[in-house]
Amino acid sequence: MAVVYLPKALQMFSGGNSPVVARGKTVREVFEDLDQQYPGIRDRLFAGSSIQPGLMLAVGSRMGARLLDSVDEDDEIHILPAIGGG
Amino acid sequence: MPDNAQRSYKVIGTRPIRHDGVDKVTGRAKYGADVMLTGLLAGAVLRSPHAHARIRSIDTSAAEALPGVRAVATARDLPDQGSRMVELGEGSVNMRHLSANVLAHDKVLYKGHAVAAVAADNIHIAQEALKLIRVDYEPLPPVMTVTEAMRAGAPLLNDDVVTQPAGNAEALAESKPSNVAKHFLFEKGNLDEGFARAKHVVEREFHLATVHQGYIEPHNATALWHADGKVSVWMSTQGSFTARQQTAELLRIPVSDVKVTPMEIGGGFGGKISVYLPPVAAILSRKTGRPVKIVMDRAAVFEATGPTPGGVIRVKLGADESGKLVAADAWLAYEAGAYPGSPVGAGCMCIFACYDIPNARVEGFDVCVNKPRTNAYRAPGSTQAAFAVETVVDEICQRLKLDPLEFRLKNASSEGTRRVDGPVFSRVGLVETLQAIGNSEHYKSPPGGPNRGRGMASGFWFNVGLKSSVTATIGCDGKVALVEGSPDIGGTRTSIAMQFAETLGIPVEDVHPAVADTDSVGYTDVTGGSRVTFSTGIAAVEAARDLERQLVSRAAELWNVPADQVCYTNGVMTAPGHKATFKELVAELHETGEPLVGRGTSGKANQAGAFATHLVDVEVDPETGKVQILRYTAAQDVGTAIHPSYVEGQIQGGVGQGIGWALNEEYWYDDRGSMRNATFLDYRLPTCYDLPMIEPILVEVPDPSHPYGVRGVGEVPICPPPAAIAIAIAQAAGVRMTELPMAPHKVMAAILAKSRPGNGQPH
Repeated sequence: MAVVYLPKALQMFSGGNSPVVARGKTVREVFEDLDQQYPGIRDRLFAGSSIQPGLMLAVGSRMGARLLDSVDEDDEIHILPAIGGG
Repeated sequence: MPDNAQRSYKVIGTRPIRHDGVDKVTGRAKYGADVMLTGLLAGAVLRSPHAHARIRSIDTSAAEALPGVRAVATARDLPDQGSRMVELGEGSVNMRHLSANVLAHDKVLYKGHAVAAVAADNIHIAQEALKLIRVDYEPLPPVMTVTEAMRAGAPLLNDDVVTQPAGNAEALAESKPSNVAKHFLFEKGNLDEGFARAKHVVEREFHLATVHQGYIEPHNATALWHADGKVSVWMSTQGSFTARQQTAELLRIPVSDVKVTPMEIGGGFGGKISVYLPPVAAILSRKTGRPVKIVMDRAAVFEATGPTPGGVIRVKLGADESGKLVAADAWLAYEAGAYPGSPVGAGCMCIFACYDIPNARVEGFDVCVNKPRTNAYRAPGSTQAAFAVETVVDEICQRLKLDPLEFRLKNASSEGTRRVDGPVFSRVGLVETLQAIGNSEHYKSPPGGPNRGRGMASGFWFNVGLKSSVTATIGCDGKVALVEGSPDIGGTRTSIAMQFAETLGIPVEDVHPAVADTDSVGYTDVTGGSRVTFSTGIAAVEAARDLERQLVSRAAELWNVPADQVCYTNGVMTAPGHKATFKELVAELHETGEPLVGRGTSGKANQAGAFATHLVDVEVDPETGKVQILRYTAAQDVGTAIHPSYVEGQIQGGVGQGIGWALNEEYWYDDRGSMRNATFLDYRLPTCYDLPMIEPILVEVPDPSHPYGVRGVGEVPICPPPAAIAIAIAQAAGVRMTELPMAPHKVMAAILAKSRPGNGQPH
């Protein structure tokens, strides 16, 4: 089970809980399972088939993860503000 | 990945002459302003004299009637963008805001905001025509600081901006318009319990000025709207593909209809990612049927491109009796400028990144003010944060009478440390940079003398991965044409070529790197985020491996042996009874088969982040407040230094800019929101008279996500300087500076305030 850390703005879906656990072999599958547990959270995270503008994902320490990236058992997923570089 | 001391390279770690060096030092390299095309028209842009005003009307008839004027453009010529957000490679952008920034729609939101543009037979006619454009403005009160902008009842800049917590789209429908575009909150542990355990608590507030990247080459663009509807753009840019996409989206034409040719670039540092001129030049070209070139002057660069934000930061730290940090709280408000998008999110994520603190909270605000929309500057948002937190760290050390180096080693982040924003660090080298400073000759030599002080500070930046493409063609003479899409700002042609040469086992001089236009190479993200040597390097390594596979296969055919009996090592192909060098083999293959073309892409790998620790000695003139930098040493975790000279150059450049940010640079605004120092005479960059030789120490902790351990080096060196210098000033003059820049008059005021009875100087 992946461990998903929810930002404050999304903890309203999980009853204030963070982190929460979800199943999936990819980031997308994890979020789909998360939406089954906490209906509506997917719409806050996705714009169509992409992550909402302004958000960035990290799987473990790997920043900038994508929806099709694989997720290992016990991986952490973080939902972070997007960053740009100079 | 083994330490670099255990690895042996033939090319990596050497210092070859850069491939583009001769053209650059002889003035033959072509920059955007050098572009000349048949029938070229000169473009000029009319800019707002007001910091905040409503546009009632624009009358361009007199300008259009001036002989020699070929076209005039306003926002009416730009397509409607609706309210869509578009992903532009290094983050998403509200297209309505981007369009209004290129040519103001119904309001101007900063002095210098583009309002209209002219194309004429020459620049003199174009500039005369600008004077004939009549704009009827309704001036509005400007809002110049985050404090003013966040106040209830403050004049509102954008009626479509509401405060948005990250990821909460519903808030858009529920909230009222606001100057606060985003609110971030990160928490870790239990803050109240943490501060309850603290024996020493220090809390300070810091004020930061708006500063510019100060790149020497102004923005420029030449556009030609072809008769078939395609658009060609030649420009100075950090990212030809994002420039292409921004231009296409702003013009609402297919992205593949735009070709961007990146010219040589005279500095960017994050300021040449957003587009300003290409859509305007393109519209003027469409109207005239001729190519149009626009080049900004320095005032336009200052007033109308993206500086890095000023703002306010509050930091509170608590340490226990042993000197262990147990709690940390920070509040950051950064200027977004006219439209949302400051790097405050990154600032929040960086501010405590150097420390392993069990209980922490960080709150950040992205705040619109009547200044140009801010942009990245090396490690965007991190320098401001480091100035605040490192200053408070030093004050904690002073209270506890602890050595700042020992304190940092005791509290330093390392592999396994969880950041306040959540992720856990992988292999990082902060501790190694601290140890390197501790072992330096500088550290062991006291600054000595009156009015002298020493400061130490650390900094962090993420570095990014993103996507790159490379193709490599082997010529019949055994030389390789290496085509990449990353504009070369800091010697990356060579650092990419070196990785390719190392992988293929050939001399780097036999690799000819070229930066191609957007039709001639695969998609490549910006030259930014310290990513090119890392990510485009991975693509080059992949291209070399692709060629190696082809060479082995072709050698097997040529020698009529099974492919698994062919071995390619260090540029020599062998098989039972056969041996050929790379060049010998290529000559034969050229005669016997199809061309050898390799390809490589990257996009999955991401970097582990970079740390730096700096040490500076200063002398403060007690009569004037002027700060002289006496000695500066910068230790940085660089992963693997592909070309050590360019790594050192990035560190020295970042430190130089950080010193300018610390001591002199700021936008001076009058009470009408007008910048009063928009020239290099009045906006004081550091010169050779201000800087000593900056001594870099390259600490090599290889990043495991890159085949050679590369870690980005271009951004983090700008993070520690303001903090390190502030700390050195405190030691030299006994005053804690909490405002940037620490210009002589401010240092002098602090020294005088200290001498007055009952002063509140925190020292």
